[in-house]
Amino acid sequence: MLDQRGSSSNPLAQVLSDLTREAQLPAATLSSKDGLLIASSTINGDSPTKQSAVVAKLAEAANLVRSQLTIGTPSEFSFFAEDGKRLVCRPFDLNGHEMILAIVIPNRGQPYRRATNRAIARLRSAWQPG
Amino acid sequence: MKGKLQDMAVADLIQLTCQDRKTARALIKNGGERGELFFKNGNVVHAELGALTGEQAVYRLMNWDQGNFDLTADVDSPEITITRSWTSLLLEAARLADEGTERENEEGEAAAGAAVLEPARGGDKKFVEIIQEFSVLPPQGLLQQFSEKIAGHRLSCLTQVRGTGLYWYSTSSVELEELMEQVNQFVKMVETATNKLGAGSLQDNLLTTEDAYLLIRFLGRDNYYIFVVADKTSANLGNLRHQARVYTDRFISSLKLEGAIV
Repeated sequence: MLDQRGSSSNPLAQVLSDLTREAQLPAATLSSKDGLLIASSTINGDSPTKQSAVVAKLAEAANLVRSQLTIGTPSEFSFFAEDGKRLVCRPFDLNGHEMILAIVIPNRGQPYRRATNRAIARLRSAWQPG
Repeated sequence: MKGKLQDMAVADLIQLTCQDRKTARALIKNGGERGELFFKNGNVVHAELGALTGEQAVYRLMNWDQGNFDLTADVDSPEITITRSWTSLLLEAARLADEGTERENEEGEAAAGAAVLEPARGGDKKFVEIIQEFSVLPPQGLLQQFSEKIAGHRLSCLTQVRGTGLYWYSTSSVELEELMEQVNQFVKMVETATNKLGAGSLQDNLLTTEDAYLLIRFLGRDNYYIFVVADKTSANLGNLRHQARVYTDRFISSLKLEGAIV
């Protein structure tokens, strides 16, 4: 696991490190749908384990809502704070495993979709279960 | 932004610019006359038209139904001559227009010296609609008005986390009771998550699925929130969030009038 920006032997953590550096994000985590932290990259001392668990619970609750409405599979859920910060969670399939990529966006209007799309593609390439 | 007054009345221009909380100058030309409106952080703070300044210039400009406007962002006003809010300004304009109409009816001709107060004409049907929009409606009526502004609207609710005080408006059938139970659980989870992550005060929450947007906007009063579902193919996400932001204060005012919050 990579807890600070820098090199890592974990290829998934390296993808997150590249994502936070390229998109200028303070934190990114990859977790299973059950909240198990797979990889993270943070620079602000936040606990990635806590973030991962919380994100998984949110995803679960969001899924219950959308199942009541029959509005398809969630592709993203975001939380906007009054100070402009955002937590964006993107559930996706990682070669048969349900995962959630969560990032913290510090500034209002800061772009992130292209960077997270690229990161998801790289995670799929780097994923080697074992 | 440039346009014609035939397409966008002065009242419309004021409403849009103020709702976007802009600082800007609008130069308005009608034949040989030209007037200026200055906006600061979403309010009209100064106006000029010939020898008229301040509110009188605004009321006069609002009678124009022909001409062009040119809105330039980030232009500071040279002075402050208007201190009332833009909504109050529009309501006062409506009152003056009403008085002018009554006087015209009584006297059979335009009242002498009432050039500034003369009744709205032409494009002012829209102006009347705007005034009506800003009259505080009961929560149910307001929720319907809000819903009708959202393309692809499916469902909207105004409620509290505890599940009380529910108002809803839907264009399709829905198992509301079960749905709201899940939504409330989700909102509670969001609150817990926000506290655990130390994320400060939460403004809204957006869930995007394959075919829909689901937006929860917190009113910041007595745990009230609005919950909106719209079709992803026809909804505009920017407009959805903008309308939710604009209507937040109106819902609070409406709930206050209803006695639901103090």
